[in-house]
Amino acid sequence: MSKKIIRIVFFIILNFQLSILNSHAEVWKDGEFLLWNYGKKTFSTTDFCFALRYENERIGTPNCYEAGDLERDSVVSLYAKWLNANLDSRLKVEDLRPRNPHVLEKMRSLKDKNLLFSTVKGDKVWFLLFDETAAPKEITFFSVNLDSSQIARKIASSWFGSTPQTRLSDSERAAKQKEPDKYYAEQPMHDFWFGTGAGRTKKTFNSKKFNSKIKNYRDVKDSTSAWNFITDSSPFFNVYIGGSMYDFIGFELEFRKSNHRAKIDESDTIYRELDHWKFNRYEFLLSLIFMTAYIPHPQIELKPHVSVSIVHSFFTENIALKDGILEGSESYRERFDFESYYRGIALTLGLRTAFFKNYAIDLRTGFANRGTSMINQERIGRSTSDIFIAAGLEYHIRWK
Amino acid sequence: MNEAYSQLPAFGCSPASKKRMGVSTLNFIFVLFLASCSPNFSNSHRLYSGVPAKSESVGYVEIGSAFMLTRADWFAEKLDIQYDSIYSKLEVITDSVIFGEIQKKWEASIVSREAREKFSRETLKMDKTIFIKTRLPEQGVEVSIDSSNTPNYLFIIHEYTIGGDLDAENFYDYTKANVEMSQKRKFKDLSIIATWTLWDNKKQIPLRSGISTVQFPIKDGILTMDIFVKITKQAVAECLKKL
Repeated sequence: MSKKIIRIVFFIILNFQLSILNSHAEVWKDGEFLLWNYGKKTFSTTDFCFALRYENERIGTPNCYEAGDLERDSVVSLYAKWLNANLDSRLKVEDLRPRNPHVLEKMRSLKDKNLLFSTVKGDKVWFLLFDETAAPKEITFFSVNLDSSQIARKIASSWFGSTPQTRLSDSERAAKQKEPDKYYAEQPMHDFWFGTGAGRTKKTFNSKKFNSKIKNYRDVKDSTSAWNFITDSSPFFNVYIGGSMYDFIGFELEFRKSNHRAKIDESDTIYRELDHWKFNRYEFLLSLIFMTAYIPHPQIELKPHVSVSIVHSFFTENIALKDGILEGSESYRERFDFESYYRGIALTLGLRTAFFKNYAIDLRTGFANRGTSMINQERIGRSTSDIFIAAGLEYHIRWK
Repeated sequence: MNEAYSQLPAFGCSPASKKRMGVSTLNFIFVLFLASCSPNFSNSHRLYSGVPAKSESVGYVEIGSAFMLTRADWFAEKLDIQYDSIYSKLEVITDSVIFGEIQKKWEASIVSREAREKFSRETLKMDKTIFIKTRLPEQGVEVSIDSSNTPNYLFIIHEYTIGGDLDAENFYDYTKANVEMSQKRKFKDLSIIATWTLWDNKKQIPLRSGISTVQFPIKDGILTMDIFVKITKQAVAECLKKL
């Protein structure tokens, strides 16, 4: 039962989409319009072109002609006669499509021009809009008492009010025909990428406990977080390499480097000997990524992703005494030391915008925590947390 | 047969009465059941408002190239007609029987087979997987018998297939297009499958189209011209019933 309901819902959605896709003719900038008054002449090319420009100022310079070629074609005229005999408000556009192959060929040769067909039947004047597809795109009727300019304005506003598209050249049209369809393009792909970027890492929250300063090269109030020793906000640079399957699951290996000054207490006279004291933080992140792909435009793909990473992190020290001081104080020699490495975990949210198939910009943000595996009150940096935000440029190699 | 038994409650038979029923009754019900399930597809135009009145003029388009025998040799043997002329003879008989039946229903006239050859070949969708090949007149052109007679409607048979134990689905359901059928020496039933359209000659629209099937049991392999005429009449009745 529930399966049946799901199928019905899908059917409705699909039909709804199809009806949206089929419902309107494309509006072209600087478009060309062929007008055919079958039988009595009800409206003029000048009125229609004026109305198009009046109702839609973005439409450019439309050209309106009489459809002389079609009017003189005896087979197309038969179709016009048939239309006149069959127009009925109970019918839909698909009931009114031409059947003769010659007429279909004529319709196809319209390319990006529009044919506006009008005919009087009883007290109504009917209007049908054709483009290169076989069935009429639009159908409407007015009272015969309306004059040409009123009708032209009504048609221009209801059928040609939307944003116009730039017309394509013949070669561009041919290229578009060869473009893989939407459903083919949406097939999941495999992907391999490498990228480089920059970002900023920052302590997770503004706690007073990180306001500590290092006294005597090693004394801090609390040594749980590395942020008690080094500056807690710094830019970082990263390079990474990764791969994914079916636009769904993947792995990435990332390397990050950031630079942090030691938070020394400037008032402590012992630091007079010190020229500079910095730490480089190096991190390796191995991430499991989950992603999904959206294609809003054939050349653009949006890929939100989430990942969970194992972090391996270590510091290198960069310290120097002032020129002329050959040997540092005892405290200098006994200064604090980070563990040889820290391990932790990171959670990342990101959005990758891929364009022209191979290139992408990736924005990501996340949270990371690293610490030591042993619970030992003496260890420095037992739990260091930060948030980060980064942007990267990537090159992708994709295949199906 | 199991399927037939499972359908019995739908025919209003209680289990007690089942015992009392003879085998022939069950067979009859089984045939009814099969008949109700056989594919009989039809399709109407949005503006179709029912069968034309008896006073309406209807042109019957001669069967011409629509006529098909799947086992010409078998028919030649049974009806004792020379193999060379079996097509032309049966075609003439079929045409006259169908026209006779249509004459009983409307003011009928005959549209020649030459006119039919000018009709365009198209495909008409009957159902999700069922398509028929059609021969329909042009849009914008009324088909006339002569300068004074232009019927309001046309009855067009697109394909008329006669054979043994034929199944319409194998002909018109594209999902079953590749089913291989063995040529049997003996048939259970003589089958006729007709695809047809009631055409509005004034507006040039297909009012109603359909696929009609009749199966006529062949006893002891006997086929006479009387039986042939009878089954042809049945086939026409089956088409007209669906209008």
